[in-house]
Amino acid sequence: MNELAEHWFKLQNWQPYAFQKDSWDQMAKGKSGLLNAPTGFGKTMAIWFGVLEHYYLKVEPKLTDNRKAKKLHCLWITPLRALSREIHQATNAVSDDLGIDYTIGLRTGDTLATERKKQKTKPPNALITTPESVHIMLATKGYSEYFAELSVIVVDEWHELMGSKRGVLIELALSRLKALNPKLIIWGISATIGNLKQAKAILLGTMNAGVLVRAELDKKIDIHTILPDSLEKFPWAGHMGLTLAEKVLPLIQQGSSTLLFTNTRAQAEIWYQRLLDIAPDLAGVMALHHGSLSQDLRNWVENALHEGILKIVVCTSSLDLGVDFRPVDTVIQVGSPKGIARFLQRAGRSGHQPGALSTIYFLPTHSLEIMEGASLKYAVAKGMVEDRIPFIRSFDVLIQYLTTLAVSEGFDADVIFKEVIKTHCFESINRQEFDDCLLLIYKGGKTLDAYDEFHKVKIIDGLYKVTDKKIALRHVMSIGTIVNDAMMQVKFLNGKYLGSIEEWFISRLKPGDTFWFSGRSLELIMVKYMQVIVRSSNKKRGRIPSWMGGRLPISANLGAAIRHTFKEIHYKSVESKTPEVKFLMPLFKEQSRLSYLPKENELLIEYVHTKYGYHLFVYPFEGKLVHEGMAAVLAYRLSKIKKSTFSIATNEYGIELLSDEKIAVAEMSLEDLFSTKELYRDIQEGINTMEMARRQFREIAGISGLVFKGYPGKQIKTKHLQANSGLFFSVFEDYDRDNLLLRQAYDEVFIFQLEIVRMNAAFQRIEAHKKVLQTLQHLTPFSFPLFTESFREKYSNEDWLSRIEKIKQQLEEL
Amino acid sequence: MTISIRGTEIQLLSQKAIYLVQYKILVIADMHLGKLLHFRKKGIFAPSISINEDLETMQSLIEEYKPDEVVFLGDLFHSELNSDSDYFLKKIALFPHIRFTLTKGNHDIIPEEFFNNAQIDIIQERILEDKITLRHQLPVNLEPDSFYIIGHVHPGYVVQRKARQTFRLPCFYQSGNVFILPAFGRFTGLFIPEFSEEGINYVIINNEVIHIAK
Repeated sequence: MNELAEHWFKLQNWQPYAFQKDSWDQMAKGKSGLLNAPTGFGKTMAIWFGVLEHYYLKVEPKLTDNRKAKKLHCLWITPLRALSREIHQATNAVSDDLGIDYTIGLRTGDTLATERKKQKTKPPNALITTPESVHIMLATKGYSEYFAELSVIVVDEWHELMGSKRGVLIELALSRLKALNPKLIIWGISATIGNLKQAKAILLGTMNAGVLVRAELDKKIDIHTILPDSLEKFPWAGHMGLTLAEKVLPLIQQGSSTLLFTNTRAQAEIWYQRLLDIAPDLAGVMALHHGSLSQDLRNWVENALHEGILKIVVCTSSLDLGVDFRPVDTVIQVGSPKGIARFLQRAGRSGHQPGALSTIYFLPTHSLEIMEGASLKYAVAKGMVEDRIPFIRSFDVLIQYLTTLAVSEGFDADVIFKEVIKTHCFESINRQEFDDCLLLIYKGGKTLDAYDEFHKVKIIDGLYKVTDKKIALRHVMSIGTIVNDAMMQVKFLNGKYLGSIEEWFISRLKPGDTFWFSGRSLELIMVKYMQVIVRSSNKKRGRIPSWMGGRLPISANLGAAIRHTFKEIHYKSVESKTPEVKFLMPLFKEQSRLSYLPKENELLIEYVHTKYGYHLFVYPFEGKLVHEGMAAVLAYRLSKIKKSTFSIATNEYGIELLSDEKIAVAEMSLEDLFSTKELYRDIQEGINTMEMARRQFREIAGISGLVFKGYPGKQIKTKHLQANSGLFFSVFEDYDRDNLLLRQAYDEVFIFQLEIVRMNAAFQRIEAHKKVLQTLQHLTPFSFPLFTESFREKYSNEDWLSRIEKIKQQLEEL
Repeated sequence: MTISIRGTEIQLLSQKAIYLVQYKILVIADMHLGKLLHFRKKGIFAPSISINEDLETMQSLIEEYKPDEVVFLGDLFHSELNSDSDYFLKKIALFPHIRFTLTKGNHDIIPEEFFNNAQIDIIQERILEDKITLRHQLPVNLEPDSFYIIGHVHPGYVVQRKARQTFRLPCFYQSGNVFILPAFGRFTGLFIPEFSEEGINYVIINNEVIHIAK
């Protein structure tokens, strides 16, 4: 038993959980491992007392009087500044309670330069920090001395980091720190994901087996679907959600604090406005929280939540992670959560006592989405939690890392190559590819020109080094993997900062225009450099900004759960149906009456002629991402039979191909249309992968250091170095096709954008299905949401709301 | 394509330049010479391209239209001098009988001495008949009866195709008494102007210039 923990738990009058004791024991044995535990059950303490015990048993006794100067003992890495702050507070409280001299520092992007300097000259025992800050430390001279006695590394919320390039930053940092101290103890903390074992292997490395500690806590989740009073038989996305706002009010009243999750920041703004409209008394006890709001504002909301001042917070994934808000007892999810893990995580934001019930309300935004309520229950019961797919071969991050090491102490290529290929991300790269990366930073690529002025990294005494101070500074400023769009800061006249909005939205506004942001109505006064100066407005109506990249596709697991729910529709007895399916039966009957209701092993295809053209609807239920790729393949195959142009719309359930002319469905066998034969070729031919790769290249160019965003507050100085990534993309396409980063852009498109693996699996599944083709003169309940999707895009400037209503009325009269 | 402004015939060339027929002036805007090399010099690994295609295009334009004068509408060089300027000097030395003029742009930070040695005139603006004015960007105080031919903006046009395909193309842009040339340099970005009521785009698609009005 861990003595410090025993003492401290007694002080708190708490009983440790089995998983906590288990973690302490494993850490006492010097083992590394992964702890799988939900938020709010003391996972921090499960690891922290292991850290403390290690220090007081193994390190402190060996300290002699003349070497009392502290060295860094533990590094605790979290994905969020807010979480870092919370851990900093909690661990400091332990040191205070126990009266021990173990000191803990906090280092994030917010930490002042003076504080950082102090942390460098007089290190604390432990440092709570972020992946980016660790790399900034690796870019500092003397880092190997600084980390020389580092014994423990803890990576918090590893499941979250693992599926992003920030995970690659961690892998690379660990490869270096392990080389400095081969005995380094590494612990990860992760929520439940499908591939926990892989998560452990990636973090610890293949050489280090480690242990997996799982908190077997019985966490009950109660899922309620909020059903509308009447069923729309012709559903369309986004319409129904807000009308259900009234049903949310009693839930807010009955609970002590409610979190209402939306999928996009724009949706959060809309919901905030709507709730304020229908329940003005919420003013003062309702707050808004999303990723584009200023840190100050978010901190305020988080603190107010802690203190139980707020009744409801409308939020996005910005509140998915980490920090634990005890007063929260009700969670509402607006729209599809798109994934089971995310849904569970959000559900877990309420009901923190062991054995307590987590209650989550699912509020569908259109009729068909009601089905997802049933699918979510099924998926949760079956534990169908998604895998997190780690990035591999991220050359952009490798190039950034190599430059980081060159900026600080310089590196020996052979040494670093051996370290890097021990990571999961780079285990498959060969020396040639590694050397190509070196060549990029050393000579600017495979240049044939003898007289060249490229200058970044030099070789000095066998070490790759950056000697130019400006280059070093530019690099340190751009460490990290999160590449944002050009963001404009929204400020009041008095300078108070509200948050940031993408440039393209502001470019559509004129001074005097009103828009909604951070839950306020604001009037644009002027735009100055990258600042948007506003004042409060009392106008009720205003445009609401939307942010790019907010749309998440449904995960493969949730897709499978939805297809399973579909089976239920065909159950003979009413009792065996879930309430959601029961509620939707009139819609399915209508579908069956107007067209056909597919069974689980059937694929429905509807070919409809309306005054807007010829529509081909297909319903694979595979999620939007896969549908987008699939639609392009179908369009390509059809246009090979007969030359034609299609407009494509997709949603989570299906695909629409729209053409001015007849579509050649009759001329082609449906088996061929959905065949897996030559699928890969047709994907490449049919999809404009170059355009997709061009977009993907933006992030890669930012991470690898091709595009420099400028020093904060110094827009002008770097003007001559600014270029957009699209320009570089074109230049590489024309002059350097084999460029590693260019190839990486295409690889990422195939893996992440087109989800080639899922698409292939979907075609295989469909190949075996019976295809049912219905030729119709009218739309159906299934096709209507897809139709409105494309309709909205085409008529975005017109009053499409009333037009859709008109079309719907016509259908209901059929 | 040829348009007429205040009786002056202007040929819009798909090579992203214009030719003023009466004056025998070839106008080229925003060449941004040496841009990629400048990036490389600062440690950004843009590909190194030794042959400058822009200068080849300029040469063939001069050979085809045989102008008396070539006016660069500013931003001739992207930044400081680098080896790309040698190529440039060699090219203009091929045409000793042609007058070269630069209306100074915001990127042009190279000392005037360089241009004097190369016998390139540096001026703020060049005013032709009927107050048709060639300069890099609009002056702070617009002369109401002037017609401005400028560069600086790098205008582009977005073609929206079905199935969510978009293409960004360089264009000439005219609105009121302002005519803007596309950037001549290959390694330049595009700015998409808001479509105003009176705005006219002359979009460059491959070897053609196509007129698109709202």
